[in-house]
Amino acid sequence: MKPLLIIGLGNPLMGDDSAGLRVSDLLASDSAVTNAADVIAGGTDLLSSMDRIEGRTRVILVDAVESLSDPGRISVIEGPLLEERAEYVHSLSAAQAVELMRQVMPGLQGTRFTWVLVHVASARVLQQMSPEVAAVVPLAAAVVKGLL
Amino acid sequence: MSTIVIEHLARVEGHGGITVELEGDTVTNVHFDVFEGARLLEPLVRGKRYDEVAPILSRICSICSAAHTLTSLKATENAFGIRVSPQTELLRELLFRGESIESHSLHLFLLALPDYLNYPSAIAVAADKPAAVLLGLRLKKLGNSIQEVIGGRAVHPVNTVLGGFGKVPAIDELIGLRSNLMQALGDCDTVIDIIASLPAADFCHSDTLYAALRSPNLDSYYTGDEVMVMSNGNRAIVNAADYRSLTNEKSVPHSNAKHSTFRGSPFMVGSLARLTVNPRRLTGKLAVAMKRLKLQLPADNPMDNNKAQALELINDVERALEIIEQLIRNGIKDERPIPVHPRAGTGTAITEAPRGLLIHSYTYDEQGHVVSADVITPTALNAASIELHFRRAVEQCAERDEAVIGKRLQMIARAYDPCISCSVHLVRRR
Repeated sequence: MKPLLIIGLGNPLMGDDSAGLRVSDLLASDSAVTNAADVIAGGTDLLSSMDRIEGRTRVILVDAVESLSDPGRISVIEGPLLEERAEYVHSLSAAQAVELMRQVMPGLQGTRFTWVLVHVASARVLQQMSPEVAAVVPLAAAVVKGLL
Repeated sequence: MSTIVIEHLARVEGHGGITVELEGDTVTNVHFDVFEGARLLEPLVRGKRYDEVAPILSRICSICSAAHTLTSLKATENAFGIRVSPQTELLRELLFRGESIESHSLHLFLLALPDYLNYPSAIAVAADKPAAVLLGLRLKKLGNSIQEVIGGRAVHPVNTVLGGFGKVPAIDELIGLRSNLMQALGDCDTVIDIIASLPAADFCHSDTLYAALRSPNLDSYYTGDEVMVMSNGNRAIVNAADYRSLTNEKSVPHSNAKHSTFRGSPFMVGSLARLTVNPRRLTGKLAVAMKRLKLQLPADNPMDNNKAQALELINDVERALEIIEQLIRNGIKDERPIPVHPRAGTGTAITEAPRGLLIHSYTYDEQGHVVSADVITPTALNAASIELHFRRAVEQCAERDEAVIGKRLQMIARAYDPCISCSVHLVRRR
């Protein structure tokens, strides 16, 4: 197990909600990344990846965030993610899951959490992403790579 | 006229709310509002090849991904006349049990428990009572580990294919699961201790119609093709192929989820319905736990669904152990999936997902492409029953205090453990 874990979040059937997964797919095929970090697709239930998170020194979470005005923007947030539920594209809150895990798993107290958020306008049933979000997936992957 | 509106129903999966309209003390209207956008997943599989359907529909829900996958496979196998081996049936049942352990522990300890203890969230509970939350997370992890070994992943299984499994688990993996499950038996006792110690939630009573998969000779979430509908000693059987006579889906203006009624009456599905329809399961440790929880069947209180989930956690762990013992005893065979020969026809499957009856029905053309698909989830089946119980709770509440009524209604909604995002299909809001 490597000390660094990258988790892509989202639903591949929900259009732009899958941005985090598409980024982690790209990173998983890049040996420069996989030499330094484990990369997994976390789907929409972060608590199911609890076992994989435990014992890491750093976890990078890549997720979609709803942003009507600025789709395609990428932002990086270190530490706790303050959210309002409505801002999230899929209804299970990954931020709350991280907060809960940190509270009850003493081993995570020293773990550094970094969020890489891909801003999307909406999530609806589609197997493809919108052109503006698809275009920034390689950019988001490069942002994650820059964090390693 | 006064109106009570709960705009956002917290701690359920998906986006929903509640509206109650009152004329004086009389309840004139109650709505369980499902705001979640229509997912339109059924048209997404139209035209797809038979082997693409289950992986797509598994994505309807991350909590019930195994149930959607296995129900989808069962429906397609029924359409093509495939009969899987007894070993495959056992492994699929085991996968169902893993998912049920995961889902019930998540619901009881992270979503329902804060209500009883007057905390706003599981995070707040964890600050004061970390042991209870850790217990829930430990059991959830156990459920995930079963799904990982059998399904190949903790969510959205990849090892489950038409006619069987891509790879059967190794004996060592089963022995590892057995060891974890045996340790979990102690945790199950603690679950009952905690649930038995909670304050009574005694604010909604109503005659209730229950519907669940009928398991006359075995305890199963997966096998079986008949649903039993029960109320006050009256029973009716509905065959899977005739599922529309059970669901009678109709659109309602306030919700993106269709409502189902059986012969004009709402019905409840889920843990409480399963125990009511299949009481033969309630022996040994379960019978003792049931007494401790003061649960009597048939129940007239929807809040008892939480107690039923606690009992099912024990049952799931025990049943998973039995299945693993049987697989180890028989020696696991390295079976290959049964070859698929597509043909035109319709296949329907009914199973018990953690939240209740799950129905998938597909019609295929001769080449094995989907002509039409129908997916009906437990929360959609429960929607009319949830509204009925909201109404009874308001009628039976002596206080007309919005905060008191609001809290009770939210507790009832959460006791149903609704997955609102799953319940939405093929309907557009008017």
